[in-house]
Amino acid sequence: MRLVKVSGIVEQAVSHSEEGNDSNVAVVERRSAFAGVYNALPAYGCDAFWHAVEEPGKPLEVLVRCVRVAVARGNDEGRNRIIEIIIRRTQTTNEYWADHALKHLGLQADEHRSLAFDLYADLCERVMRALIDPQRPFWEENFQHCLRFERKHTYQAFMTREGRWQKRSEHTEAKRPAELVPLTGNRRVPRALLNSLDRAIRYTDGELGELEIEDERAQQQLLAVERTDLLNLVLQLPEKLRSVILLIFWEGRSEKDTARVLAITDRTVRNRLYEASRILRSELKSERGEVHG
Amino acid sequence: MDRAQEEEVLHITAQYVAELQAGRQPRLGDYLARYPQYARAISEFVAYYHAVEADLPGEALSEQDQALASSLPQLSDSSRMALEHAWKRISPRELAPGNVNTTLLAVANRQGLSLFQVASEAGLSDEIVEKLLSVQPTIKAATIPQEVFRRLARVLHQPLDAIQTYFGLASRLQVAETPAVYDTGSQDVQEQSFREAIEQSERLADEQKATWRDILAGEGL
Repeated sequence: MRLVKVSGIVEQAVSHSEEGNDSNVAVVERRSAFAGVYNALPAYGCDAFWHAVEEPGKPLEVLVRCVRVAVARGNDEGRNRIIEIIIRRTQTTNEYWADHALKHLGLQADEHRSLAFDLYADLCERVMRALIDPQRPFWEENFQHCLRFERKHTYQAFMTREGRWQKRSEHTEAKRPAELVPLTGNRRVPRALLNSLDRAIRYTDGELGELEIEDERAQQQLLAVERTDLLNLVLQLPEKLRSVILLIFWEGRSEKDTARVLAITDRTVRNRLYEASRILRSELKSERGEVHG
Repeated sequence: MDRAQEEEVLHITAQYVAELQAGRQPRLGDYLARYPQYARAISEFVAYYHAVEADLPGEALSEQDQALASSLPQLSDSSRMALEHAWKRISPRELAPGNVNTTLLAVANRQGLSLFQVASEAGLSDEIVEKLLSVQPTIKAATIPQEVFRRLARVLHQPLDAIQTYFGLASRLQVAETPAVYDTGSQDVQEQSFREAIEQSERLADEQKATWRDILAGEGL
């Protein structure tokens, strides 16, 4: 069976739930359905074929398969034609996404429009590269999720390139104290969250600062922070801090439970929370400096 | 993260989104505990998904609208410019067929030969030729008679050894290649022998089938 790896993941993903078998069956049925649609297409390149691929309801997964067949045949015209069909089918959502994804930056209208177009153009380029790459089979199985993932990559790369996010490599994190790597260029760190963190920090005897997240008031304030702001903030934190912040402030888990989930010690959880708080507070300092300076 | 790992993360996060869309409220912690090796990638996706994607117009609805629409929407100005921009940035090398499995199809195409023509000249049906020359060949190379290689070499104006090398490499690639997503999980097309392809063909005439049976017998296959 050639799908051991793929179906293995799905099996694993659902093995703890009663829906597991149903999901697995659904995956197989989905593949069968696409295979059926693809195999029912008229011979590649004939008029009937083009008529079929231009039908608005034709699964996008099947169109991806057709793009790759066109590439395999060296048929540039056909490849471009099918890619354009895919772009036309997805443009409304993707243009909306580009516009929506930048809303939290609070830009002037002209700048917003210009950046949204750049973001959309970046996405188109990435999508086209993925469509012609036969080594990315999931596009032929779940187009919308692959598109979603490509939008994530595009968004992150764009925000970093435009200086809206500070890129932090693991190397950088190891070499520089957190307070020296403020989130430059971004002025959307929610003040309520920062204030909460300020209050929540408490130093213990000679140790690294410990975040007293059991403090009920601080917890409430953190949880009251607008969800989207918190999530955008998490995306800008160094990778290793994201899971801890999400599990505690977004999913509402305790330190102990978070440590268990991530297979790390309670102390590591606290240290990561502390590190995240220092980054956020350094941003607050920077923001206050600008306001008062 | 390499390509294979990214594909795995895609499957995992697709499951997360599917659960969400089914109203089941998946727990991030459960996913992180189940896939610790991908904890960072999963966290990153989940944060992004809820920050940006969750508020986008419903995809299902959008697909439904498209299914009901009688024609495709026109290419928007933004899309047109984005496409032009992208084509300029994607190099011809990236656009070339990615591996030798694709070469014979490309060769046929460049010579202006359709699958039907190749099939007709080789005494095969178009669906069998497609199985032989597709991106992921679905007929075991070891079961293909030499006569097929000779005929393809003649039709495609290629040296016989080039054709044989092509199929030799194709058969090796079958071991390590990325799984075909349209496989439904059974030992099906990938394991098909040439004889089975002939017998199961609905487009090959009985006389042609008889000829190929003789050839297979003659070559001891």
